Amino acid sequence: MRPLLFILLSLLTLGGGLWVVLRRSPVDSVLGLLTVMVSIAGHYMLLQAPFLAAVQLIVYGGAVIVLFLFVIMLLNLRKDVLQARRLPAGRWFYALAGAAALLALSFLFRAGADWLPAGGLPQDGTVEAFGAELFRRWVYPFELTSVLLLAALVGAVALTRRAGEPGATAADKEA
Amino acid sequence: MPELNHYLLLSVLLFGLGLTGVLVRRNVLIVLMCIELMLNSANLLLVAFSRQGGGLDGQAFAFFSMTVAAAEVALGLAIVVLLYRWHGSTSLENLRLVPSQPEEGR
Repeated sequence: MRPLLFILLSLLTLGGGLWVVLRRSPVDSVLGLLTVMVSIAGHYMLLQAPFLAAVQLIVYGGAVIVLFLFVIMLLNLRKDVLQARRLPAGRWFYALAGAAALLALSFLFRAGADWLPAGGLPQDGTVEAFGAELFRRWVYPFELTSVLLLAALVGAVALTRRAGEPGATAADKEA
Repeated sequence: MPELNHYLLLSVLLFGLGLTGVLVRRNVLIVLMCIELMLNSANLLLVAFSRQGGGLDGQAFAFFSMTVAAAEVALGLAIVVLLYRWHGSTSLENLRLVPSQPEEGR
């Protein structure tokens, strides 16, 4: 069953990638990107890296996608979004895709237990094993990432604040 | 059982898609998303090699790569917001960051 799962996930990944590149509207592209992120999390599960799969879902599938959607909403890209061509049978396409995804998911939940390896769950990339490795061998890079994230945070705030108005918020500008 | 070759192929295809998008698309948001595609293909390959070679080094690399990518997206989108304020659009079509040369202007 694993090859089948690999092929399904790869089709999802490449289809989502094509969707990102080919769709005109950024909102559609974000949905394609979400498909890619979730399918790559599935690939990580197949590669026995459950912790990375969870991180992929939380960081990419959650934070990054929401950030993209927020920026699209903030920029108010009404023209770009509305001018995007819809699929000819858009509504039916989405309904069918949703139904197919639901079917596939229920199938996965039904059959998932049979696909576990004979020796039980993998021991490679579990949270425990990965955490031990991370805090022994990679502890300095791990601490450095906190500096990086703080720099990104401060940088993003400093970049997007209106120049010449320290402490000014969007609400102040409106008033 | 999918082998390393299959992951190589998938990763190269995904990277190619991302690269094509960066070169072809003119919407800066979609260009950023395509950069994400390329980063993800590299991560996938790191994890696949990690599985092949045993040990968790590749997974640790992929983990740090994800952290850097998250910071990159935050700053990239901040720059997109600035660009939109300054230029009034997210299109890269008529964007000119450097003013034209004096000879051209005359």
